Amino acid sequence: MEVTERSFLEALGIMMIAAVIIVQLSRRFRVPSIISYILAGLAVGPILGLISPAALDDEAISTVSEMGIVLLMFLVGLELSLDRIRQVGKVALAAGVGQVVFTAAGGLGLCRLLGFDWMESIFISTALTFSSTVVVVKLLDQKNELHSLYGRIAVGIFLVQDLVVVVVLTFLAGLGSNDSLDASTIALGLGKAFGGMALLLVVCLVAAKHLLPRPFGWAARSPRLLFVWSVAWCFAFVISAHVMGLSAEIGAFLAGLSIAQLPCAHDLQRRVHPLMSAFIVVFFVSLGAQMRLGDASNYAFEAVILSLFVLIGNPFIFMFIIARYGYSQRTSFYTSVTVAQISEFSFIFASMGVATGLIGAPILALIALVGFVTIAASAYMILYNGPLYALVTRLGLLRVFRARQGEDEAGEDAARTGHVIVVGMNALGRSIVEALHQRGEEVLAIDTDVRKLAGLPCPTKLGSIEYPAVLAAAAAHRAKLVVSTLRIESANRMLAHRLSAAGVPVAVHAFDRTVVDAMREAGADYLLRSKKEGGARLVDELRRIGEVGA
Amino acid sequence: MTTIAFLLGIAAVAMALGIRAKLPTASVLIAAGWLLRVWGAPLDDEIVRETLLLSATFLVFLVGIEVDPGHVAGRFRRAGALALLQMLALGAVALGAAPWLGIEPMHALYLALAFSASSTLLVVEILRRRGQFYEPFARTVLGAVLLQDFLVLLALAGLGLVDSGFDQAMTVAGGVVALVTAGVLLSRYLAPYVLTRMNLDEEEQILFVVAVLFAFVGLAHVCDLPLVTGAFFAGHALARFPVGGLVRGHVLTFSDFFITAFFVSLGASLVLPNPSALLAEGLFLVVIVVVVPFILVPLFRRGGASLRSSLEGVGLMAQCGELGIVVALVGLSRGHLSEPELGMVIVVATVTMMFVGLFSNERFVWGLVHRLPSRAPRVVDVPLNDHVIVIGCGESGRVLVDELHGKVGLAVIDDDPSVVSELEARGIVAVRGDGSDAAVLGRVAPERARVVVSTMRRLADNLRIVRACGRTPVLVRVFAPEEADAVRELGGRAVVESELTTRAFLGWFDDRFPRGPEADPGSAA
Repeated sequence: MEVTERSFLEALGIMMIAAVIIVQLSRRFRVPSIISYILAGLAVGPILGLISPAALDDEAISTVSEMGIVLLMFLVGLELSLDRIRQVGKVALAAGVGQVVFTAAGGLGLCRLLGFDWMESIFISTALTFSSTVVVVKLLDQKNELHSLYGRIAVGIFLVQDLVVVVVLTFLAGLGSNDSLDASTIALGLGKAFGGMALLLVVCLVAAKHLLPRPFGWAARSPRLLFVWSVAWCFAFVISAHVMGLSAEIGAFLAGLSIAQLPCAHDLQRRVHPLMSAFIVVFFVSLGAQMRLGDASNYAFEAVILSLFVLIGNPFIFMFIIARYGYSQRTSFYTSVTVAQISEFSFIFASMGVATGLIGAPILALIALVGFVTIAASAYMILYNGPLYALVTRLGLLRVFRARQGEDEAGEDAARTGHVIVVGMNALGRSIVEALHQRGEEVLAIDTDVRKLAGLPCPTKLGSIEYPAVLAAAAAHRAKLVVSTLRIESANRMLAHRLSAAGVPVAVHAFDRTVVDAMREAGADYLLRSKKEGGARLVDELRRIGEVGA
Repeated sequence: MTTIAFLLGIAAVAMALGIRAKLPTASVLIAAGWLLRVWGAPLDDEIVRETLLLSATFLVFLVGIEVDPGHVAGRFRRAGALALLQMLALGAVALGAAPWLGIEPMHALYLALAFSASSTLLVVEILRRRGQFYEPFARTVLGAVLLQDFLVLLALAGLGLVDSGFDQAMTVAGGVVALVTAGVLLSRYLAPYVLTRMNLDEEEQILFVVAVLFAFVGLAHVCDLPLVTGAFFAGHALARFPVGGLVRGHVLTFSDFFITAFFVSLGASLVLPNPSALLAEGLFLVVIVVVVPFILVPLFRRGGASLRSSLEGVGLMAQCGELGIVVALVGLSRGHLSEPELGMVIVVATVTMMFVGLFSNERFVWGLVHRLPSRAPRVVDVPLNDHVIVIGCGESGRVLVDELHGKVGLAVIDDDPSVVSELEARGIVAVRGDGSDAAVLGRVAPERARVVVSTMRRLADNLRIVRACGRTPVLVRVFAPEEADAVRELGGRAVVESELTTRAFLGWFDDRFPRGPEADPGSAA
């Protein structure tokens, strides 16, 4: 197949359009979106040749792809607080390090049994050791379970693994041109990385408590400024991490963590999420486009064995370690399932081996094949971890781990229901909030300006209702009534349309007679006709002061 | 990644300074990007260029999405005349001055086109911020800038045909037809089906919108049209309700990100114009800011707008915006514009966008209203005494007029000519004009009136009326309690819309959601 050289915009367009087509085609079969993206990459890359490897190496494409990862990890940081991370620190460290040691050792033995030579075995077993942070975090985000206990432990484990990756890369960098280990380079690299990690962590802690609250409180009055500040803060951490030899993921995560304590964190999550969703597609499609699976045809048996090792062996090791820390059987299982795949780093690592001539191209293809199989299978395992857990429990397969029965966490706080949501804290919004509150209604006030939410007698939420996620976070579908006092026709109209379709009563501000019909057509149950009310009262007032007769 | 970090870092600082100094974001970001380059920050030129390309594409897409054509329906004729007149005036000036300024005619055409494109995003932002989005003059201005975008992009496609043969002309014409057809199909069938019926999750919807953008851009590319033409058509095809509302919700973040990225990367790739171009810049600034607005004012007024509304409208159009810069970038890529000329467009855009807030500002506009000669007011030939004056005959004013008509002597002031004609037909004394203008108010004898009732929206207008009416009682409709306090301080009376509307809402709420017996102690007895 002839491969075409394309410009940045063309390549990006092809990736996006291919992703949409494959996602839509595979919807019927309930294929997780990340698998569809990887399949789209395989289609436009190795299969159809629409995008060349050179186009994927393009600086701009890789920047967009990296930005997707950075924003994803920034979101993870925003989702978690320092306290929540601290709670799972010990188990994450033990499981992360323990798994690296056991998987590497087990993988090495298995590779030798399968007949690979020592160098190939070292490369394959190292590649099998690391799980994909991006894949798992994306799936947990899709399931909205990043904040769950098992989600937090998984994130902690992946961060530990990221540090181990840094160590491995540092050792690789220490391999001099004559293939001998340069101890001083390694020591310097490790010192820089761990020193940098400590420094970034300190900056993160200080910033969260002392540096950021005031300036971000000021910036929150302008949604765009807040967004740009946050993203700039994230990239400042990413660059700092890069300078210190750490991964961009760690930098972005710590940047998010430092903002997570601020009142604007939830609003930021909703703002960053759409941008991440678009950029991360480029990462997954690129991943698929880079897979060259053809050379792996001679290793079908080995691929099956190694894939099973990752899909079953890795969770087995994790289950054992996490259960030892007293976590329940369910939490241990859910967490363990998240590591049943290999990472994109495995491809990079194997590519480096091919480039240096330490392994051949077929080994790289084998690792790519194992990567594709394990990512695809683990995506299903994570998305359907509930039914899978029920099945293995019923079969009694988890008894061997002797994990604690019961639950680690109480369920979510009682979900808000039967409440009244009031959007737009102008004079009308505040007046309605106060009146409803006095009547004993459970009210939730929403506005984009943090200053307008101050001093209200009810729970508040910062955000724009034009983001569907804001309505979801406010549990609008379970609300008794949603009221918008905004003077923005498009926002009110869309709100009425969305909520009437969901069967939720909605009242909107028809601030001008020209918008009345549109609001009714959109499905509003009640119109706040402020000008009409004002006009009627003017007549009454004229009568009251005796200027016109009754 | 370092380049992106630098661009975002400087943007973060610049935006904060811009907000403190109340300067337009676009201008501040361009200046910040330029400073980054001057300071020698380690920027990767390829990344800056690709960022500019990607963000320009998204920006034009967002411009297309921003205004639902339904919002300006019924005003396209007047808006089209305004848009065309501004383009023709600038084209004439550019071509006329080209030999004198040493600019080639083709370059002059690109410059005229670039300067004709007012910033839609800025106009929308200012109107929303001032709460004027639904005023009649605002709809006309929005219609004009929307049509300008459309005409500029079509003209840009036409300019690309210079030096090309028949075949290419056919390709371009076919491309325009294909984009229009695809836009109609997308707008009427595909987008409503996919986005409202297929039950896609948020990520799938975002991906669909982005893919539509790239599909249109690809189509434009295949047909030798500027990529931004495809982006604009894609945006416009997704602008209609309810799809438009959904899409706007998804791309809000994109808008924040790409607007920032566009202006700051533009500044970072800015080549300043030669000092010798100062004359040309000065000329175009004067034409855009002074000459063209005064050509447009009569056209606005012929449509029935008051002098004040006309000045506010032309003040908003007296600028060159982001699309103008995109036009210049396309001209540069075609070799029809030089880098210093691009720099000239950027400088003019930066300066005019910086001042547009001032030129359409209330105080500035009032200053002009008082200084400009105006037509002699039509004499009110009905003796007015012990009458009620109603200022503003919108929704509230109409309730009053209907109630009072025939019961008391009535005089109404409104700036909408159709309202005035209708009232006159009913035998009501009606004056067309701005009720907060003392000269207009004076024509209905406020000193002899029983009471003056104002339903004007802006607090400043109402305070002016209270002051102008002296001892005559003034009753004002305001939205917020704080506004009522300001009116009362000057001796006026006020009714507060928000409190009245809350009361009416609570009546409906109690009917719709009757409280159970446990919540009502009285009923338990």
